[in-house]
Amino acid sequence: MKEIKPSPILSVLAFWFLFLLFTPLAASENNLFKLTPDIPAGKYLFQAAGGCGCHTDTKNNGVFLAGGRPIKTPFGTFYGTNITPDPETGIGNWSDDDFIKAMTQGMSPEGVHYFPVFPYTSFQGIRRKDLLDLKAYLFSIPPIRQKNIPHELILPFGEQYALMFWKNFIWSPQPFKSNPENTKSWNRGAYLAQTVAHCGECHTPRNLLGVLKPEMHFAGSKEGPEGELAPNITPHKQTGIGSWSEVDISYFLQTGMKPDGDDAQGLMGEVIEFGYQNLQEKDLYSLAEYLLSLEAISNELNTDLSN
Amino acid sequence: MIHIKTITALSALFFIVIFGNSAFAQSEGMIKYRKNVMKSTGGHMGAIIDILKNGLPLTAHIVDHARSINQNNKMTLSMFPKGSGLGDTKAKLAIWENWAKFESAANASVRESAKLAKVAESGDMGAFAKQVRATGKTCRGCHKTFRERN
Repeated sequence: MKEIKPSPILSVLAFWFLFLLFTPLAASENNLFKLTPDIPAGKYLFQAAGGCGCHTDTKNNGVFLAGGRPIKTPFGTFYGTNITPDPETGIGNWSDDDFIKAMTQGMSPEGVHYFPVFPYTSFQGIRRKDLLDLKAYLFSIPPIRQKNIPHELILPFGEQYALMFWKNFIWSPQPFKSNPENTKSWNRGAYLAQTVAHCGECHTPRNLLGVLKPEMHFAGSKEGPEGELAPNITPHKQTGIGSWSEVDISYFLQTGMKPDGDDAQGLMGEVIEFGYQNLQEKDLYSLAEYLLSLEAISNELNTDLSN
Repeated sequence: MIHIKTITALSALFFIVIFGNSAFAQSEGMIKYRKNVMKSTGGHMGAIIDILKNGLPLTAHIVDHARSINQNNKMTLSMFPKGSGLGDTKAKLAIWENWAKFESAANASVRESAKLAKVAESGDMGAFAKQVRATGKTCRGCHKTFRERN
C-alpha cells in the first residue's frame, strides 16, 4: 500500500481554510471581549445607583445631572458636580480610564482627591464592564454647560493632604467578593447592595474618621447625609427590618411604601423615585434576600414611626 | 392703688396661664387625634398592600379599605387648625405659612383615594394596583413638604 504523505501545498491550504473559517468568530469574540459599552445596561446601573440624585439640584429645578445641589454633612457643605458630558464643565473629556479612576480611586483626571461624600468607597467594587456601561449611559445624556460650585468645608477636611492621608492610611478598600456558598441571587443582591446601590453609605454608621464601621454593617445611622436618620436595615426584629418579608422589601423598593402603609421620605424616597423603582423584580428580590441574610444587629435609633 | 394693680396683674397672669394652658391642651389633643387618624390611614393602606403583595383571597375587602382611606383624607384639612403646630408633632409650620399649597396637596390625596375606591369597585386588580401607587404618591407628596423627616 502506498503511504499517503500530506503534501505541503495541501497543508498550507488546509491551514488557510481553517484560519479563514474561524477568523470571523474569533474576531467577534474579540469584540465582545473588548466590551462594546451597552447604554441601556448603563442606564439600568444608573437606576440601581439610585439615580445619582446628588448631582441634580431637584429642589431648585436644576438640570438633570448638571450639579449644584448642596449636600450638608458634618464636614461642611458639598455641592454635587456636573456629570453631564459637557467637555468643559462636565465629564465630556474623560477617558474610560479617567472615569474608572474617579469611580474606584476617588481621583479626578487631574489627580485631585475627591472627598468620600462621593461614594467611590462603595463604587470601587463595581465591575469594570459595569462601570464602562455606566459611563456610556452618562455620555448619552444631553451635555449641560454649568460650572461646579466650590465646596464649603470645615478645615482641614477638604485639604488634599488630609484626603491623601485618609485614603492611604485610614480607608482600606475591600474589593467585592462573591460567595460561592450562597445562591446566585444572593450574590447579585450583595453586589448591588454593597457597590452600585451603595446602601451602606447612609445605612452604616461612621467612626470619627468618617470610615464605615464594619461591625455595624447596615445597622443604621443617626447622622446620614443632609442630617437625616438612616434606619437600621439589618433583620433585627425590634430595631431593624426583621419583621419585613422579601416581598415587603421588594414592594417597598418599588413603591416607597412600607408594610405599615407609611411612605419613604427624604433621600430614600428620592433614590426609589429616581432609581430603585425601575429595577427588575428579580433584582429587588435579590436585594431582599441579601438584606435578610445579614447579621441582625440591635441598634435603636428612635425612629418614631408615628406622624 | 398698688393693691388694685397687683390684683390686675395677678388676674392677667392667671388668665394667661389658664387660657394658654387650655390652648396648649387643645393643640396637644388635636395632635394626638390627627396622629390616630393618620395611623389608621396607614393601617388601611398597609392592609391593601398586604392583600396585593401576598395575593390574599381578600379582594372583597379592598373597597372598604379604599373608602376608609378616602374618608380619612377628607378630614385632613380640619385636623390642622391654626395654632395646632405646637407640641409633640412632626407637622411643619410650613402648613400654616403656605396653607394654599397644603390645601392642594391634601386635596390631591382626597381625589386620588376617591379614584382608588372607584377602581376597587370595578374589581380590576391590575388597575387597582396602579392606583394604589398613584394614591401613595399623593401621601408622599404632602408628607414631603409638610412633615418633619426624623
